[in-house]
Amino acid sequence: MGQDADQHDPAEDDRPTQVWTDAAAAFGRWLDGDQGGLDDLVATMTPVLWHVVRAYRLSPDSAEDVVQSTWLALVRRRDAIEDALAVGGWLTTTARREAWRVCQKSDRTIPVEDDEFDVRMPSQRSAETDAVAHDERDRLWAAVETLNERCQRLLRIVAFEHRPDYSQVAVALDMPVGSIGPTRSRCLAKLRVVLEDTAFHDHPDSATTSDERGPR
Amino acid sequence: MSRDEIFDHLETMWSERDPMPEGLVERMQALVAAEVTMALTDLDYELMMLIERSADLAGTRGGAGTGTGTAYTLRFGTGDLDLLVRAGGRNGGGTTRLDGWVVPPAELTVRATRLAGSGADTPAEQSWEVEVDAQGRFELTDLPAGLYRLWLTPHAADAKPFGTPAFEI
Repeated sequence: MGQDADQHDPAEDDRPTQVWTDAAAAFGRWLDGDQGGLDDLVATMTPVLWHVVRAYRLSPDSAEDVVQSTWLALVRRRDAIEDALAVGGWLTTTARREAWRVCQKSDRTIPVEDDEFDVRMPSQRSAETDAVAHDERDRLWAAVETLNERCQRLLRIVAFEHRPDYSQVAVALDMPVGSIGPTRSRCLAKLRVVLEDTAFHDHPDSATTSDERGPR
Repeated sequence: MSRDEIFDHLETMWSERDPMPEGLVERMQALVAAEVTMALTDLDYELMMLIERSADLAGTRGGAGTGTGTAYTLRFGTGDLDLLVRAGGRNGGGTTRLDGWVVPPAELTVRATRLAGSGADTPAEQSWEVEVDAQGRFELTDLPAGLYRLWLTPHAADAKPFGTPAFEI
């Protein structure tokens, strides 16, 4: 394992980062005096913040409260953000820290599995016949459910933040920074094993290309 | 699936399976607009945190709980002060009663602000003011539905006001 090399190399992450660009542009407009910029920033980043915070399995009410305090913090501390490009990362980091704090402080977090979601274990492969995207995600969902909580949280954060700052993620997940990259790789590898176990025979791509790309 | 495809699928999957609550973006927009206006007046305040939220009847979800007529209780806190708020069911005229209890009791003025843009008929912010009594209690009897924040201003001249996060009535 030990692939620390994939930690801070932006070039290896090809996923679109439109959300960060949009956030930076909107924030810049607001700093220039356009109130509409702030509305756009909120519209762009609130969905990301929601998923980052929900990765901590806070109840919907607590999650909304954390999202709210993140926005209040932005208004109060906007001067602390020196580079408009950094606003997206500042927001997600603030939200993660607050979510982690709330998580630590209360044992009242609601387990997501039973209350919120329809859980399905990946044991129904014979019933699945179609490779349409919706079924792919059913399969993915079932596979994710087999991972431990830390893996699920990390994958969700990485999925929505696209290019998170690992030193900040490490703080928010209570993990050493050097272990984030390897842990992500391990979580992804476990996910792939489960996915391949349930893969369709008429869908060969899903099993063959996975290992050549390296850790994300 | 490549690594990036998996993460794209994960993103879509979570967006579908655990979507944002309805109206969250609009609530946050109303909230930040009000906060910006307040920042202009240079009012410094201490933000209280939501500690607990419970519906008096089972089966309601608080965040989206407007229009249900269900009473619920919120507890906010800072290091120095606890605030318990019970928002009752609807009155006859479609308004809601709010009972508050400050612990420990203190000489405070409570202002409830209904954020602009938080309801169909709220182009501008509205506010209500009431004094906390000797037992630490206060009541606001006639609040229209909307997104609210409460501001607790100590009578002592040099004390900072306390502000709650926004909550829906």
